[in-house]
Amino acid sequence: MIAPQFVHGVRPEGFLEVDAARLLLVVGRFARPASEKTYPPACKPADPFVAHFASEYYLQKLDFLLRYPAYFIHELTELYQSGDPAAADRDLITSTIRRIHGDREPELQTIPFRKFWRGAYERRDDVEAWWWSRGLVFVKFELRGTAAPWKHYFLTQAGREIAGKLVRDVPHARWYADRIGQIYRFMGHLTAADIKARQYKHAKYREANLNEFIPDLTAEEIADNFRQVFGESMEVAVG
Amino acid sequence: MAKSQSKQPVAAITPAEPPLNIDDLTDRAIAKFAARSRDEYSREEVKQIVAGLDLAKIQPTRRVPRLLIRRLKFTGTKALDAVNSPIDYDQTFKSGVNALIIEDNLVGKSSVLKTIKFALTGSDDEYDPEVRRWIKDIWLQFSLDNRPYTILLARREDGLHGRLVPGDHECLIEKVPKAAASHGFYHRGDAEVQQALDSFFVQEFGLATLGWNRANASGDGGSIEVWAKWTTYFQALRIPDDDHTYLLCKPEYANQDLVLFSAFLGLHLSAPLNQLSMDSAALRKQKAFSVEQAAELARKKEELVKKRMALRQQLVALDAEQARRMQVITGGNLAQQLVEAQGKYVEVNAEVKEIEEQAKTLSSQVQQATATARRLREQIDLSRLLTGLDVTICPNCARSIEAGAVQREKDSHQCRLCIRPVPAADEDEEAILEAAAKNFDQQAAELKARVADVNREMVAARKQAESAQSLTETLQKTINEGVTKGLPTPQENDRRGKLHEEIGGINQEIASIDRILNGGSVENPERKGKIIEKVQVVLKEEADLRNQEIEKRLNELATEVIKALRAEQITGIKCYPTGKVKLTKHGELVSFSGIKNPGERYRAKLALFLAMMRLGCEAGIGRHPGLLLLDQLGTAELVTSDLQASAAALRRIEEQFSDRVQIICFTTKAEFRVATVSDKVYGHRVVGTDGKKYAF
Repeated sequence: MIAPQFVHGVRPEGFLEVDAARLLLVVGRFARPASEKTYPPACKPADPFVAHFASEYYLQKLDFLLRYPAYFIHELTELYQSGDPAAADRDLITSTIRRIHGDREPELQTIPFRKFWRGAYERRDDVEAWWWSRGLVFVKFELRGTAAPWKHYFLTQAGREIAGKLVRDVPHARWYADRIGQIYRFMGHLTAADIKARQYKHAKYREANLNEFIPDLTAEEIADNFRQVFGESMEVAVG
Repeated sequence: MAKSQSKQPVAAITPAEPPLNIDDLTDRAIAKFAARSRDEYSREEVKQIVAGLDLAKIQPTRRVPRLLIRRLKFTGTKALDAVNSPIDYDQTFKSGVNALIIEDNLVGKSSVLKTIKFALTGSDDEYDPEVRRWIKDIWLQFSLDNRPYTILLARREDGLHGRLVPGDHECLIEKVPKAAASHGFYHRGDAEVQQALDSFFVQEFGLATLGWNRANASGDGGSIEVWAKWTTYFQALRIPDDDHTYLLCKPEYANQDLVLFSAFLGLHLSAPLNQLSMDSAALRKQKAFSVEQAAELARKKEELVKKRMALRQQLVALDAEQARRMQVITGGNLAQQLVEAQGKYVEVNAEVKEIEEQAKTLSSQVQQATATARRLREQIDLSRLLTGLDVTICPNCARSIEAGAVQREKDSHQCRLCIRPVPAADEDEEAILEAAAKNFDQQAAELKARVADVNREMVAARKQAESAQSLTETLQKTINEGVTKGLPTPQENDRRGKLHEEIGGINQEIASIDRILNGGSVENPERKGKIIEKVQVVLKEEADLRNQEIEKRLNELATEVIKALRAEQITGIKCYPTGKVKLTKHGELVSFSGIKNPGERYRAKLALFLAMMRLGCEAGIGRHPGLLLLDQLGTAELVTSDLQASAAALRRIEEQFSDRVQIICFTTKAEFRVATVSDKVYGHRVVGTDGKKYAF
């Protein structure tokens, strides 16, 4: 279904199908196999599922990295500088960054994210309902006393198949899958709190107003940081 | 004896005669031909010769500054009879007659004179070879009127270093304070130092550019032009050790004699007359050129013209850069200019910022349009795949949708969840999205074109801002550091001087080629020679008229010095336009070599030199700077009474003219102790192990 507000001439902020597809790919990549029983037993859905992912908070953090290639470049640079083993391969890190920069991803692939209280957050009830109604992902709540309930996502076999089909048939989805793969490779070992702490180091992120789009990092900021950390220019001389 | 009453410098004489007219001179030259041959020469031919002369250079009007040697210092190591001893010569000199007297030969008197010459000209060719090796550092402090200068020469491993700086200095050449070193000049290499001193003194004394012809070394009968340099002119500042059989230059250099007198007496029209004389000599020595040789010369000339053009362009660029800086200084009130420049900078900078903001906004809009187009297409692609997914579970109660509800939706188009009518599917939804994406693509393309325009505007505005900033900084720097920062740098002056020298050299080469080409096979040398001869006659007449004032003043001055010197063999001096000078007695020409007594010849010669010296500095007509070095004074005089007469003559010069001329004598004769006052008599400074007295 297409967002009707755009069809009537209003510029769309997003499309439900796109959000549903993108987040399905994130859940598909980061979810743990059902056999590992990483979920609380009380949350287990009645219907069959193949993998489990938690939480909504983590999903939002990962989605932010997916939607802001400039921040992802910055995080790769920082991970390398801090000596994180996952990002120790200098050549791999620099070539990954240069490819993202060379493909002008920060200009073309950035999907602005709104700030909500303490970070990037957008309600995803519509996506969850869309998933659920089509039997792709079931969402369950874990009550945690006075703390905010924790959401658990259970990926069904149908959901996994649709995710695979998307990656096979739609180039846009393939791009998301590749980036999610990179996030998993370099940052998969970080917890949601770790990622949040990293994001909060950026003044622009930290100081963004409630319900406003979080400003992106500029090309100069990215290039300066790269030069400082790697001692070379991010631009590669042609010829 | 009372000093002369007429000590005030006389202002330079501006010729009362009107400027020379080419047509008038042409007519007068034609009139000089015999009536029967006059028709054989066209007026144009004659006019061409006259027009080729530099008639603007009649005579310099600036009074020549007086040259006064004030102190000579030199150091080094003397190696005599296998004994090394340090040299530390330091002698002050005063205005009037100075006498360095050491009653022995080969003790270094002449070396002192030669060191003065070396310092003033950069030429050390007269030194004895060992003395040349001994002396390492030389300081010559001198004045041009009231402007003090120091010439520093230093022999180092990489050759001769030479520096001329204003003020008095006695530090090593490498240690001259920066403030002083930024004026004057500094050169390395014998030729470079000599060239720099040549330019400096020839310019200071306003000496005419004169030359002569010398036979070609190849012996092909041709000739080359030789131009007088400062080392040539220096001969008029010195009377050497000889028997005084000639007036100024040795007879073999008689042509230089004419050049020197023309220049130092400041004779009118000396440059064009010298030019004609050289042309005439070249024609006489001319050989016919083959067509190939003429073509080769023409090709060479073309190359020289191109080279000259390139050098002139460099000069223009150099001048433009200096003019820009000078504009800062001379353009009015610096503080006011700074305020204006700062205002302009703020204004232009604000404009740059505005354009930068505009460019940023446009870039952001391009990015947004491109990204939106991409997202629309992403939606098309993803929704195409996902639209077919059936809703099988109620997201509200999490239960499966009943088969009846699905069938109802198919039959009556009621939603399987909310039962309301399902809107008809819009088949064009994809097309609408694609159209919107294309629209955004187009927007992005248009914005990009504007970005390019704005970027161009930004480049121009930034340039303006940089220029305004540069001007502001220059003004601030100028105010902070003084106007000297805006003035030409020594390097620029040096470069300009070199460019002028190169251009001047090329001009001379071109002129030589022109002479050869015009006087060669193309024209009849004999015929051209005759025209030149007639033009010379006219110019000489003109110069004669104009030189009358000079000759009159020279004789007035000569009379005084002849009287003081008691040079009774002469009573006056006669000048000819070509630079020839003759002595006279009661209006009759006197043969200088005909004066039998060497002492009398010497005094007659000294009278001529002194008159010439006073004509320059005192009367402001001639160009002699008022310094005279007398080497081996008294050697030619065998009789004691003659020595005494010469010493007495110098004493009278000291008494009457000490404030107007400077004479430095180098002699072995003790008789000259009375030639001046006692504090201007200098003796030996070193006594050798053999008890011999040495100058240093």
